[in-house]
Amino acid sequence: MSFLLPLGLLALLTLPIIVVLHLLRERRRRVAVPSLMHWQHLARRQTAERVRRLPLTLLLLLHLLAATLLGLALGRPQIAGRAGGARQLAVVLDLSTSMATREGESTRFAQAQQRALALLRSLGPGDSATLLAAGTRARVIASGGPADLARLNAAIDTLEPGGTGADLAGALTLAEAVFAGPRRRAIVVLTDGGPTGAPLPSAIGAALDWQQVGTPQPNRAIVALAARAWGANVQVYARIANYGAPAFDSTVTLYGDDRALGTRAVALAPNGETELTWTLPAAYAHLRAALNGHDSLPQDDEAQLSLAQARPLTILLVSARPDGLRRVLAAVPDAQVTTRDPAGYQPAAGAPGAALTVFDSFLPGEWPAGATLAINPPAGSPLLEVAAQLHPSAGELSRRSPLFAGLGLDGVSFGPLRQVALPGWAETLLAKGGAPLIVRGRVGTHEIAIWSFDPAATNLPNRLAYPLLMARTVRDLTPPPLPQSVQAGLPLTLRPDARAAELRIAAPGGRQTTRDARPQLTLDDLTQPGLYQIEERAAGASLFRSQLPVNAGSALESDLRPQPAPSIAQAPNQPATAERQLVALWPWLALGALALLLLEWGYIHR
Amino acid sequence: MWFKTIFGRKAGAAERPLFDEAFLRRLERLSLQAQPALRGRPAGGEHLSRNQLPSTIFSDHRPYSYGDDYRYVDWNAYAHQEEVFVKLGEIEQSVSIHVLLDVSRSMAWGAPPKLRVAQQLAATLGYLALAHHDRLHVALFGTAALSRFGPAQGKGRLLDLLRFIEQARADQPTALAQSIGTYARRQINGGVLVICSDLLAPEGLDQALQALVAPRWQTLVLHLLDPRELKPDLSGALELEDAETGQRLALTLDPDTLAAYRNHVSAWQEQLATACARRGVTYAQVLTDWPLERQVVPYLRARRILQ
Repeated sequence: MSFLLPLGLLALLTLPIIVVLHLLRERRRRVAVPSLMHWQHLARRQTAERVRRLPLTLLLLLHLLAATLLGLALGRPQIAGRAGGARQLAVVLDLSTSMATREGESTRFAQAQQRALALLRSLGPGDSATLLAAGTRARVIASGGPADLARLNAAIDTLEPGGTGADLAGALTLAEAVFAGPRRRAIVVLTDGGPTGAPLPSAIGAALDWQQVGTPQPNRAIVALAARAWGANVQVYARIANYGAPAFDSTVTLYGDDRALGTRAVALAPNGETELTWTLPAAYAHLRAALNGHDSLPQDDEAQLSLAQARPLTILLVSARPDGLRRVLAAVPDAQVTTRDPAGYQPAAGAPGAALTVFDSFLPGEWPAGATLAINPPAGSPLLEVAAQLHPSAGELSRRSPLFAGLGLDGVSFGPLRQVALPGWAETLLAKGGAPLIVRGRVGTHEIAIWSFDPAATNLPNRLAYPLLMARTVRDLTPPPLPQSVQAGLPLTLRPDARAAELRIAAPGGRQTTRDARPQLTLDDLTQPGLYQIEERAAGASLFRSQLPVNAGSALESDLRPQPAPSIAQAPNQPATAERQLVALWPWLALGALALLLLEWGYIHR
Repeated sequence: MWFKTIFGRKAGAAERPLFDEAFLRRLERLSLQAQPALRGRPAGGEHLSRNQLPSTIFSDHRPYSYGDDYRYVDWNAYAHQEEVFVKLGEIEQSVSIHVLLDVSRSMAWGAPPKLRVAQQLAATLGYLALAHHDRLHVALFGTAALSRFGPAQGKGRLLDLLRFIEQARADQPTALAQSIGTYARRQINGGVLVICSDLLAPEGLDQALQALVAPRWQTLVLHLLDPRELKPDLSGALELEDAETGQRLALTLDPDTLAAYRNHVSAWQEQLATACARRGVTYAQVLTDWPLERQVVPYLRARRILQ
């Protein structure tokens, strides 16, 4: 409350004056008695006592109250009223894996959903609500007012927990961003743990209600499962953690291609970890480790690995003299090389074609569907501007890519070069004396590398660096294999086959999504533990199909013990002082004083 | 004001008969107790006289004197004593009953007003007097005797008596001693004098009783008191207003003050009783909340005012 005219408060000095006046002349209730002859002898003593005592009469209280109200009214008080009764509510739901923990007959996430629904039901006229999901990436789910309650409820019902970590910081930032106007702002965070990922802001411009969901529970989890080739065998490594005060004895069973390979007993110390290793023959494409956890979060009691993630590589070599290049290309792991004479080359119509096409001293009229390695490109092609041959000047090799790390190219004489005018979509990776030797670029979905020299005209085929350079170039042009497994919710960046037009992704629950293939694709919705099926397709045919295991166990999500709520300073629950309405109080105070005076008048003349 | 006309208490709404007929019939069995020393009229009445006159109802003798009626000569005594004696006997007489009704303003105070109780007492005593063939005088007094009723005898005057009493209004200042003295001097025969008053007079009762000497007067003082006079239900800062004079007194009442007041009233009552006893006056306190038939009349009988 503020006063527009503080000097008016001097009127409050009348209060002691009123008290003094009442002390000097006390107003008494008049009572008729038959005679004063019995009272007169008592009067003098009482009069002397009366002066010393403040007469707390109703009239005095009325006078003081009326004078107080008038004094305050003269000060022109104002209070900051609400800019509007409406409020903006942002509800942040934690979608991390730990929210799937069972709590009695329900789960933590179900409880959070119920609270969110209750919050939405409490919306009043003019209120608005925004639902935000704090998964590995925060996002806005839906927003609306009381009229959109059904839609908001449906949006909540579509959510399911899964993923490592909750981007609560991002969710708070998004919530602040969606707030608009001078209405009250409130953020409710429904989570079972502390913040993960980016640090939370130290202050926030809204009323923050950090609601903890769930109770502390012990949990056991497989937090790591990995494998590596070891000669003709495979070594498998697993780490099992116990997040709880009691020790726990259990068993871990390893399955290879859904066949039980063995069961190990594990003794988990309180809050301890144990590690297991297996050595297996390299005969299994899929491994699965299962822990007999007996806890409320079964999702992290299992972990899987895919050992057959190699991607088959088809290479078409278009060359009039293919022998040298075929030998070096065949040395690339998993490569299948076919050759074709340039005169008989026809672009694949309606078929995916090869994953990589190597043109030797030849360029077609258009780039093929897959990746392309153009060696010693001839002049006169519409795809590249190639001038006459030149001899590279003496000078240092300029390496601008990790592709050449560890390769001994210093003694290589690159012979006559094709003078390739560097296109705008390409960059030079290797040059000598200013003349580009290897150029790399992308045109649309076409991954293209250009060797401006003819290896057969150089001493490169005699060097060990030649097959290495070729293998690295091929790997750089073709998509890498999928990882053995990924952590649930962590974003996975894919480089699909350049020929692919779309990706079909089938989640463990059977839900399928289709995405357009792009040179680089980030999958951030791999939140459910289990096996994802990923298929790259082109022209109605499947180019590549693979399984991607997604595991939920992690030190971040498997620890179900409560985390302290973060300390975040809350800004005043009003957007800005200037936007608030100042309500003048003096008319109400004056009316109150008038009402009191009327009451006093009635009291006196009753 | 017009709303007072609508919502105000209707005049006469509280005017009820002083008492009903059944009460009067029950009252008939009682009579005022008059002293034999009073000078009455032997022609009628029911009060014993101190004087003994020749009578057929024998109780004593005296020597015959000239003019005595031969019918009362005790011839048997003459035969034994050889002296003529006249038989004497007790006689009954009628006396004058004077009821003085205080109509000072203080008598209008109280719930019910003290005047109302005084009217009932005066009517009761007046009815007894009329019913027992006494000579009844009723006078209203304030500063002086204002109006009078009587002398009247016989129950045939009852309605007149009631009309007179009911028209009394407590609107006069108080002059207790002057009024009573004036009245007593004008009544040379004396009689039973009943004072119905709250005795709230600055000059006091003792001065008033000086004019009422025995045996000419047999005086009864009926002191009307409201219970709230004895125990006021007041507290806090008050401005007391004298119902008699309009004089005001600012006073803050606390338990000590009220205790002092009660002590003062008690001493005053003692003083009144002592003054009455010293002059042979019967003093009786009547509280206004006492029911007339069930409490006042038995009380007066206990005090031997009624028999």
